[in-house]
Amino acid sequence: MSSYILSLIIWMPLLGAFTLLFFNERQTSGIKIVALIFSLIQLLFSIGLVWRFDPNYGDHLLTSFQFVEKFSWISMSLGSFGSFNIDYHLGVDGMSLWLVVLSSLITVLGVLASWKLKQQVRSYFMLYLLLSTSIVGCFLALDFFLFYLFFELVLLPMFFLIGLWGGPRRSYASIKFFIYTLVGSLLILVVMIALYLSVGVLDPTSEMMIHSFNLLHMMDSNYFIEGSSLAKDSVLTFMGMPLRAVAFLALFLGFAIKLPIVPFHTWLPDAHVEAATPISVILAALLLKLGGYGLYRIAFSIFPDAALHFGYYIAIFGVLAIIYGGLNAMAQNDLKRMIAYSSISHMGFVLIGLGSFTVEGAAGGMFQMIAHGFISAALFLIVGVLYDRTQNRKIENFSGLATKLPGYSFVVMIVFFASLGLPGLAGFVGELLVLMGAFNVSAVDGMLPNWIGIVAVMGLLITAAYYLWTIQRMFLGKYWVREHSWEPKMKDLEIREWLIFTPLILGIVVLGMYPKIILNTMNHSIELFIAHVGDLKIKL
Amino acid sequence: MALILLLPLLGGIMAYTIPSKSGIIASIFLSLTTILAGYYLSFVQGTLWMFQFEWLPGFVMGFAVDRSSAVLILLVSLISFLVHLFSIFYLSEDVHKDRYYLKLGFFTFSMLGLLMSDHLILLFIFWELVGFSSYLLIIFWFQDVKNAIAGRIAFMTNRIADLILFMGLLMLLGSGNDGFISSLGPLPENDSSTAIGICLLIGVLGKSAQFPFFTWLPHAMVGPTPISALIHAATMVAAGVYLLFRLFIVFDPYLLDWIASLGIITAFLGALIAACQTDMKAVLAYSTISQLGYMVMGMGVGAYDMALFHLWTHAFFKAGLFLCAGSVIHYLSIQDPTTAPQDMRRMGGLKSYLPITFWSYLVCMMALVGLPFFSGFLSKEGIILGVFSWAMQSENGLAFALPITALGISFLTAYYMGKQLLLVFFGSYRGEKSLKMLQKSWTEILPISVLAILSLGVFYRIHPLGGDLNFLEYWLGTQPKVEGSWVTPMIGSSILLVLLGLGFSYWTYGRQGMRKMKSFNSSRLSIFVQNGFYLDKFYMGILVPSFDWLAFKTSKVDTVLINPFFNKISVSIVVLSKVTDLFDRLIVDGLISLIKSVVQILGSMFTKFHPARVQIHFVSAIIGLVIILVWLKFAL
Repeated sequence: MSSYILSLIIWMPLLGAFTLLFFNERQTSGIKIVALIFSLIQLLFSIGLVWRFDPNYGDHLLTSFQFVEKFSWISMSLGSFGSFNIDYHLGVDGMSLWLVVLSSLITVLGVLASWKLKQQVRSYFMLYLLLSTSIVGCFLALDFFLFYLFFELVLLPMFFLIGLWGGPRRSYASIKFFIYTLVGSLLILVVMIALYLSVGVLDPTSEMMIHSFNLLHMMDSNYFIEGSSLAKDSVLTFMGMPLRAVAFLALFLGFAIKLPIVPFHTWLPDAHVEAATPISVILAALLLKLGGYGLYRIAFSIFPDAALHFGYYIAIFGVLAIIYGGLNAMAQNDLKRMIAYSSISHMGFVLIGLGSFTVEGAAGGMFQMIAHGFISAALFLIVGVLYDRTQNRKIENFSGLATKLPGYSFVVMIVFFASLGLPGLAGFVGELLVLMGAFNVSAVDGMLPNWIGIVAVMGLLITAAYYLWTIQRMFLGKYWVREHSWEPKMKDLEIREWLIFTPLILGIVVLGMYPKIILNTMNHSIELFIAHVGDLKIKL
Repeated sequence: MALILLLPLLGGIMAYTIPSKSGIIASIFLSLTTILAGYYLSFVQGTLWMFQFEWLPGFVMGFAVDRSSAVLILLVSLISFLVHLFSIFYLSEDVHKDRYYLKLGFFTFSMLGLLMSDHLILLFIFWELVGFSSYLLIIFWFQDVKNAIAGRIAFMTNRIADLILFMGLLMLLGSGNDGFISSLGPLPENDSSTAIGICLLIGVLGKSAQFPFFTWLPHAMVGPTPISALIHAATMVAAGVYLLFRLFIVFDPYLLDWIASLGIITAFLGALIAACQTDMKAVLAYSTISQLGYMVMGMGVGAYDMALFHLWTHAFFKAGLFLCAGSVIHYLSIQDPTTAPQDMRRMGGLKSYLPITFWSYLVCMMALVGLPFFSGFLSKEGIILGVFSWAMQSENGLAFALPITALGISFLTAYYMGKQLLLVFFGSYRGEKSLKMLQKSWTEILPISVLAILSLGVFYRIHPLGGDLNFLEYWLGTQPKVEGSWVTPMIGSSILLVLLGLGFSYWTYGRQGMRKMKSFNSSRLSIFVQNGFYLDKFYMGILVPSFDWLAFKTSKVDTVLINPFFNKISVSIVVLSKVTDLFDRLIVDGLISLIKSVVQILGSMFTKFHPARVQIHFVSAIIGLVIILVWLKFAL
């Protein structure tokens, strides 16, 4: 298939960023419109991608990628080391498809949410569009080096976006964010190089080993060089553990910091609290998904044997995140911090789904990521609405908002209840699937014991507790705000804000009532993924 | 059928979009629903409706309506319609009627969906939506933070039980079940099936407000009174009993005994607490708890047909009682606005001001206490007889405690209802203002009197004391088959106990009136009972704060442990880099500058020996270098 749609999707925002160079700093509305147009074009292309996507393509994980683009990018001979090859290699399957759509949608909404920005508008939007390019690039790259490049490229604009347009403790938060993620990236880098050295094809003409960063080769055990450090039958150990297991753990940790897992999560609340609203939205809705997607596409697909070995512990980490994040959220008095912790709690379900090694669990984890993308974006925008008006987010400073801001409270009700897993809204489906996977697998082969599912369900209770408590404290009761000066600013949602919230709420409701819209296109890929990953399970 | 399901929701949405006529529109939609439900029930045979769909890939769910659920669908839509009508009257002064009818329509939709679902997960979805819409309606007057808190407590208590139910359903699905209710069979006997049974049971206990979860129901009473009638008396709380009926086959006999015991405990506690209440709605709330206990007990002993029948009759007379209470509260809050329009101690003598309410109340009350000629008698006797015959078959002698307690509860029920009747309607009004007769609107009178008429026994069995229950035959295809010489004495003693209870209430309140009441209510025991055995206080005062404490402590892990740990690491890295820097400047730099100064000193020494002829030095150096290179070339 010779179609360049994936490249178009990736580079469209960057093109927008270049266009912004022709503007000067004072033409703020022009800059915003350009950013909006380019992100809208990106959105249109990704919707077109869904349109042309064939949900039943391929019969093996390695051949199931569509719209593949592959060009040799860097190729040089390194003498006795063989040759060094990096491809520009893109492709999309059912798992990445919806993440791409989600990214482009959130990008558009983020532009709308930044509409009132006043300082350094041009640099802000240039960084913003660069961020968008690199996130989508991550989801579509099929070459590990290319992926890593995009993965690192995310850090840079994010660092500046938090550090320059953030709140009072922004420099602390941005540096913390940067360091945490960088440590994760370095772990990934080490494994990437080791993989590069272990994977290769013998060139028949020149008898040279052609190494490559091709992810598909890395997933396929046939491409591993005999006797190399990470080959399937490698006997090398590191501190008493097989090297493949160590490599998997390094990858897992690298991506899980991004997801995040407890106890490597503390960058997240700080980064969220200091970042501006649209940046928080991107952070929660998309950046966390990079970690989850990395686990699916890279850590689990390349090292299925090691993943299977650690499946139980991964699920335990998931449960820990659910309970720990939930309890923490309950104790917060800053609304944004509470929501940040609730993100940690919800991402725990992704780990349980992965750890269950079932189609339901994996599909549930993936669905949870998409649903959380919608819900968390809406949640942070909700905080943003309040913060725009009062520059304050403390829960105890507000009460009875439902009387004064009925439209806003309506949105809050839907989104909060979606987040606490009310059936009929998006949050429920992912959790249901994950738990079905967890309970199924415990009944079938005992990979996960029942208590994992039971404790995870208890986590849902904690979620309900803090959301209901927040609703009661902030939105019900008599109308009251702490400062008298906030009174005139307490107005209901304006049209721009409705414009942002409507697609999110529509998404939440539609995904909750008719989840097949996503699952139909995703399911085939998930089945292939589980067939690939769980291949060993049958043999065991 | 899909139309039946969707009409209430549609009506709610229409009512929301046209606020000025919201009540009428919603009621019209509901009347259509009721007519359709009645039509289906009377003209369609067999399985009335089947609809299956693939909700998730490879995961099929479905609706199915058979006669036993169709009758309940008719019940829900009829009562919902009457409550809609009554709400037009009750909320005539409220400004947020549109929102109210939207929520009410949504509730009716979810409740009907619950009754129609034939799949466990689908049932759970509607189960949750029912709880959610109940929450929305409880907090309808959310400006008062007390209501908001009550709503939260009600929802959370439900949520605990619901999630345990959810676990049970997931385990049931995990054990290889396809989840269709109609194809459920007995579970194999092992540990997991016991766990499943317990989880499902807890779900039932939560929704049907059974011990130890019943504390949420009195909280739910802060909602508008028509809501209490519909949701917290007639329909939602009966969902647990309905689920018990649907999943009857899953429970093993051992668990069923537990169910029966929990039912009777709840029935007893509820009746006892109701006897000590002073709030008009609270009496009815605890009475509901008590009656639900009867139904659960009936399910537990296997008299499921009678339990369902009691669900039906109870729905009518309890909804009727609540609407009467609503009529009284509405009347008093307009005539004599104070802060406590529900306090029975302030009422009295309302018989002459609200005659229709009074007569309806009387009929519904007779049905509740279980006097012949009224519907409650038929179903309650059925349950008591069922329990008795169960106890006869049981090997355990303790089993007779159940029918005996059930008889005792008849007495208590008659006592507290008689007390309420006397305090509210008889005697003279004890408030400050003098009351005036109000012009009554038909939207008030019609629902109350329809509910009262449907609480008469003749609709279900012509003969008041014996004979066939044609209605039950038609509905569930069963006939109560209780025979034995003890049947007549049982019924007789039950009626006697009811009469005794009524007489006792007349003896306490009819003559001495308020004086007795005050002395009784101030005793320590009765305060203890009145507060629901402080179960609620225990939950709210000990369990919830300890949970909060746990959350607070956990958050401390972040701020005290994890964050400082990583901060320390980063600080130590910074310190290390400072040390390196110091090393760099003092040692490495120092060495370099040492060498430099040595060279400098040497240089300056050498300059003293040689006069400054740089060029010559330079040239000679180059020549020397060339010589060395050439030599090296040849040497190698």
